[in-house]
Amino acid sequence: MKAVAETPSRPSRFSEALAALGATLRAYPTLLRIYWARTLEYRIQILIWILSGAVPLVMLAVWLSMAREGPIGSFDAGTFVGYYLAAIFLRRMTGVWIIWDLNRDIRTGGLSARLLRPLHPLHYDLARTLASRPLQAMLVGPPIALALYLYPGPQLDLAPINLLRVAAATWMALLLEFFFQYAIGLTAFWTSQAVAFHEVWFFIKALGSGYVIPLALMPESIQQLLRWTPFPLVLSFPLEMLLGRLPPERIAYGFIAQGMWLALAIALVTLLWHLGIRRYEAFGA
Amino acid sequence: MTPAIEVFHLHKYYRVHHKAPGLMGSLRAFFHRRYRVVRAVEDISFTIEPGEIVGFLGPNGAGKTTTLKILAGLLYPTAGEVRVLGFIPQRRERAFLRQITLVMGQKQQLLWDLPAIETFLLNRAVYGIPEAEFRRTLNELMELLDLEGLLTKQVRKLSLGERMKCELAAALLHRPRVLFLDEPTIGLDVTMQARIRDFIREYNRRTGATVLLTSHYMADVAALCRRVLVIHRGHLLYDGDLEALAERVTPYRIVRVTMAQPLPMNTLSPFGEVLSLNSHRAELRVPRARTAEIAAAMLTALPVTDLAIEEPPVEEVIRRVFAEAAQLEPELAARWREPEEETGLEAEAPEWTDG
Repeated sequence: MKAVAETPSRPSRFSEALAALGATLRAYPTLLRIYWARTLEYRIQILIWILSGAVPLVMLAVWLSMAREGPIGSFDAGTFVGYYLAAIFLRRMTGVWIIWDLNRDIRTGGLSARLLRPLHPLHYDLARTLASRPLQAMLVGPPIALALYLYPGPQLDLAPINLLRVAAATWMALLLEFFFQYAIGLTAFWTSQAVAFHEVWFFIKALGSGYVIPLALMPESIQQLLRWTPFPLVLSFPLEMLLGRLPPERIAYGFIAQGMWLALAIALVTLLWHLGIRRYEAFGA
Repeated sequence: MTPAIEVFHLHKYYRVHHKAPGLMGSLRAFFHRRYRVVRAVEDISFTIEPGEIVGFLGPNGAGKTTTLKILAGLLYPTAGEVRVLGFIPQRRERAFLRQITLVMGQKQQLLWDLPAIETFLLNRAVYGIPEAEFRRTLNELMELLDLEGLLTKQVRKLSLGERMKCELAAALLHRPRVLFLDEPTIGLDVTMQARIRDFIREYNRRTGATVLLTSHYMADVAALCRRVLVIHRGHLLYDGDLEALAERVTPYRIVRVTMAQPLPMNTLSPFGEVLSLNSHRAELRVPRARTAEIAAAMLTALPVTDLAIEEPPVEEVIRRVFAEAAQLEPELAARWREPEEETGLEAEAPEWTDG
């Protein structure tokens, strides 16, 4: 066999990684701007965002009718109003929708165009996820704020330091959600059922994150169990912090747990990507 | 000079899940999956020098696209070695990706709902193209491809030809040194095909880029490529001059004559096999070695007003190569095999051992 020409000498792995990081960061403003423009093209999706507030509102109505007799656990009527209205907003800030697209791209070869470019395909999805936040906040934020203002009773902890903490926890929750969903989407390299995992994740998350029922009203044993999962961290944690219901040690614990779960999710994505990309068959493309 | 592309003993096998039709078939497949190995590429080796335009020929499913995807770093080879500009493609290093491009006629990179210029700007950011260079390249591409007025239209509102031109421009903004073009003219009308062809030739001339191209349109290949690789059922059958290939597999030429008056068939047939006879015009197939002699004889014996000697059409050449191959290598026909018949190569493909 003829000898293959030596690979030309190239910069070290470290400097290459650093250059790649710089290039990635420089690409972000454009990525965000373009995906912002694309978000505005999908007007039906915007309607769906608004309608998706219906679930918490129904739950709120149920709880309010029950709370007429008096507080339930540590929740009175005002707390329920604050909880579910804030839940609608935070859900819009942390909700991620990438598994369908990733699954399709992997299985039908749509990933190819991104693989050819010198930027990890994950960044397009992350940029798309981030770029839709401002619009969602603009659409959902004002009515929620108005409702909270008009309805007497809901107690939110609006101290600047707390708002800062909530913003940080919400940002972490968004990243957690993104990387876990990305990991689920990457299973499409092995199975055609990635979307089924998605359903399972959504179902468990709806219950485990406090979106449907406040975790504080669940039996202690279930709360204990959920503490070992990332689910409370993607919504309940920033939400209860916004309501001023978390003691300082639970806040500290929450941030540490978010950091650890995020590190785990990123490691999982890295591993699945590394193993999965070898199986990519670029069909149809 | 280091070759731009080096391929040594490349193999690519796919594992494909097979299912019998019908309800029972589906049920059986649910409990027990049966896989077969498709040998898309088997032991292919070639090298391409910088600046060459090489045509990759073969029928559907021959392994052309698979090879291009491996060269562009989209697929991992099952066995063998591949280098492009000295890089191992599947590592997909930045420095590698910034110097290559793969254009797939049927697949798009353009963002569907936005004007093409947005994809261009995205590529500028992703490839880190400096502003001045971006402007210069874009202007050049706009002139070569005649993109005026197209860039600000939503991509989904462009015609197929317009979209293909924008695809090409998007794929070339970073001035790649190696171009992999997979059916770049598919579905386009003849004028647009010619335009894309001219563009590829001009890009190659201006930048010295290496081009490896597949096409179903022999006109593309005949116009652009002096050298061709012929691949059939994963095997490389021929690597060399297109003209030499024509001489080898088609030991004849076409003589086209126009005569002063209509002549009967039996007057013409002594000179060669008459392919067509239409009043004043006739087309004859003559042995390659005797072409000059026969042409001279025709000029003397017949009332010829015009005579031209032509190579057989490229389609004919390729058809003959494949026909020849099928006869020479009957084992090629047995490409679909059960996994238990696997050769030792399976062991080199750890990603399959989990099935």
